Amino acid sequence: MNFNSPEYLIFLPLVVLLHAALLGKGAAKNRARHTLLLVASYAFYMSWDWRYAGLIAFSTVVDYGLGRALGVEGRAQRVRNLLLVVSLSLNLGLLAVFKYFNFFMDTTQDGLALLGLDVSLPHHQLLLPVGISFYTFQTLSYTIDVWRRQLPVERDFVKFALFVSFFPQLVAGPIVRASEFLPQLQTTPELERARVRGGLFRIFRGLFKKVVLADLLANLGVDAVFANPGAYSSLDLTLALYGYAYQIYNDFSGYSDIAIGSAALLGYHIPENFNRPYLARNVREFWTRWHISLSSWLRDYLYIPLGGNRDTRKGRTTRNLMITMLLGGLWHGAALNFVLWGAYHGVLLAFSRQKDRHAANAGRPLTIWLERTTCFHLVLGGWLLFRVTGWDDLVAFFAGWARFDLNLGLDPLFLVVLVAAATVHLYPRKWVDGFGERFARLPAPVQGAAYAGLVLALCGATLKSPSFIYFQF
Amino acid sequence: MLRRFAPLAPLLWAALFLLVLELALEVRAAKRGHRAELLGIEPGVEEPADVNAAFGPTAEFPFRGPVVPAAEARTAGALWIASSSYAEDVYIPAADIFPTRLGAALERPVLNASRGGLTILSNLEDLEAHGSDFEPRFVLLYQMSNDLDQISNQLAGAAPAAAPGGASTSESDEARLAAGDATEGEPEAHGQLGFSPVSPWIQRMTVYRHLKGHVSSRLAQHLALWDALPDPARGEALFLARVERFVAEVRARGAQPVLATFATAYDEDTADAVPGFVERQNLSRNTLLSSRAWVATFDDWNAALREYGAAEGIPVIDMDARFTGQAELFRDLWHFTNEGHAQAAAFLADELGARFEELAQ
Repeated sequence: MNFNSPEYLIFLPLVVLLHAALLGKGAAKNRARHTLLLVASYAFYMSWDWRYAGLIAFSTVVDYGLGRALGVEGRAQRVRNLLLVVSLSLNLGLLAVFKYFNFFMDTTQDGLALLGLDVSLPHHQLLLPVGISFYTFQTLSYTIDVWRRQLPVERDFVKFALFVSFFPQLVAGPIVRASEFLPQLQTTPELERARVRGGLFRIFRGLFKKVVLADLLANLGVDAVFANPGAYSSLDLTLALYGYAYQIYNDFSGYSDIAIGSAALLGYHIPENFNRPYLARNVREFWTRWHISLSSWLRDYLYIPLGGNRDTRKGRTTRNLMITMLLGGLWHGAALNFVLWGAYHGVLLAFSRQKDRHAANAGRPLTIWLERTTCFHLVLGGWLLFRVTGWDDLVAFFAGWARFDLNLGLDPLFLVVLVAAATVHLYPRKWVDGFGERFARLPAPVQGAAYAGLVLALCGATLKSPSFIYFQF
Repeated sequence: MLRRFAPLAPLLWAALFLLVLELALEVRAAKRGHRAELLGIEPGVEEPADVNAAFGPTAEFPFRGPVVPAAEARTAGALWIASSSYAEDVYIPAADIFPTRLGAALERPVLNASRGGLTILSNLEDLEAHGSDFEPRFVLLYQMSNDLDQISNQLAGAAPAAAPGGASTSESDEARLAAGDATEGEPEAHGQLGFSPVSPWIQRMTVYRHLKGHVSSRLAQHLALWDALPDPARGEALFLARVERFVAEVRARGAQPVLATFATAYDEDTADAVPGFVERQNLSRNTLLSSRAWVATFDDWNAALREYGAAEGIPVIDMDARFTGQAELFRDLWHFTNEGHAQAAAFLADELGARFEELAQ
């Protein structure tokens, strides 16, 4: 059940109405509400593939049990460490089996072939469970925080299970940490008018980003060019790469908007995942604006434990950055291009750190825009690595650019959508938020008419309706 | 109690506006003889009461054509027509569509097992469901565009363009495709792994069909459409696999299969002359194929069908050679006009009549 599918447009209001009917104080009502959301979340997940509900349930039971065990008073630290290792092994083990097993087998097989050993290693035919990377990181955050004694143990199984499977962010984030979500389950959410209407606005904003901007960019040019880069001019290749940068941003941030808005309709807060990333002045800043929930997770649970930038020995910070970014790249998918993309960003971050030490923080507008443009184009290089499906395509891109051929083969409508996407991205956030607030104050029938119109427009603009890109991660 | 729902009022208003719009458009559509889902009105021309009484579909006779008792069909050696809207056009009176005319010309019961949207695989299901009751002597298969629609989507699911972000994804799509082949070659919507119970219902809404027909199809004209299938050999193999399954089922029932090539208003030479409204009509359903891709693939698959028929000793009636390119006989790319139905019936009667005699001997 995609967020941009008719099913979701019926499923969400149904859950919201049932949830609203159960609002009220008291343990029984809280329990009923949490149970409803848990059932809805599993129904949502099972609509993708019912078989994988067992996997998420297993992960939930394991981490709930380990969390309880970690919370026993007076438990020896050695035992607590062992419990953490068990949690990490089970969660990352499942991830490794489903997501990386075939990749490692392929890589090993290719490596052995280079040595002249023609070996056929086993592969599995299992489909990658939707959202496994996201909920694995969520549950890990819980176990690690409990192990660090930074978070109290959750003793209510339903609440814990809901934290793991909460449907708005289950499939593609934002990665919500236990410390952000579990406390919200201890209180009765308020269905405040401003929050609900803000949530509705956010959902439609996300749908617009996905259906109108991201999908049209993909359908009108990006997919065709990346499928056969050798057939397009230098100009087309460049425009398609720009197009992909805005496609992936609008696709993923659109999903996050819908997730945040859907949670708001239920009275819950989900953290922001994007903050106009292409306005970053350097790559470090980019990573504080792009997929914030993942980058902050990697920072807190990987980069800092590795030593972060505290270790002043030469090269240690760079090593920590590279490890973090390589694993961050691999988190996206079991393919070499994601590893290269992670490595590329690792190098950029290391270089950015060196540069920051020496450069003064110039604040003149021209300098700012020069830095932003440079950073955007550095990020663009990363997107090329991220999007191509093989070396041949990468070579075809560079060969195409070397021809310096300025014929425009893409449809003019692609350019219109590209400019619109860039404009929407540059639009000051306070303007968008201000518009949202003013819109939310309009009479309900006017808002309803606008939303009905938007539903029609979105329906008309839906052509091939591809899934959200981040669903595959 | 109700006050707690007050913040959700814009949602309820939006739903109300959409419902009112749908009902208004359904009333208009119903007056014009189109389907109206919420009002429960089926599409089609209004036929005289006496004709309706003599024509199916009825509870006992699930075919669009003159009602024939099952016992009579069994003894008279009925002709079963497995097709789609090409042979069951709801906008043309039942008495005028080619299967009805063909039955009259051949003086043989015709079981018109055709409905809009069917593919060869759904024809097969119909044959399995009702074939035992009517025991047709001959089964004519006239199908192609709906199968091409499905197969093109199936191929799109495995194409690199639909699998952004790495080789591993396209490999898994390919594996799913292979699994799909193993289970009758049924297509899977790309990217979707689960069930989709609401979408078909939404797609029957008049508002939805208006949007697809007038907005999406216009947008789709700007897409980078395929001028040929990305893997023509695979597409053809998937199509022939369906035909083979159908033929095997017909033979298993002791009937004689007859194949027909597929006729279209335009051929490869005139594909660029396909009118905009026809192109949009196709794009409102399939956003992968250009008009050129449709006709070029039909051309290839027709050739494959002739070869297959020759190799298997199955009669192949060449509707393609007789009608393709005669745009005046079609109301779009592949649906006959009234006159087209008349000529198709006459042609099929000549061809089948001769073959029935041969086969009888």
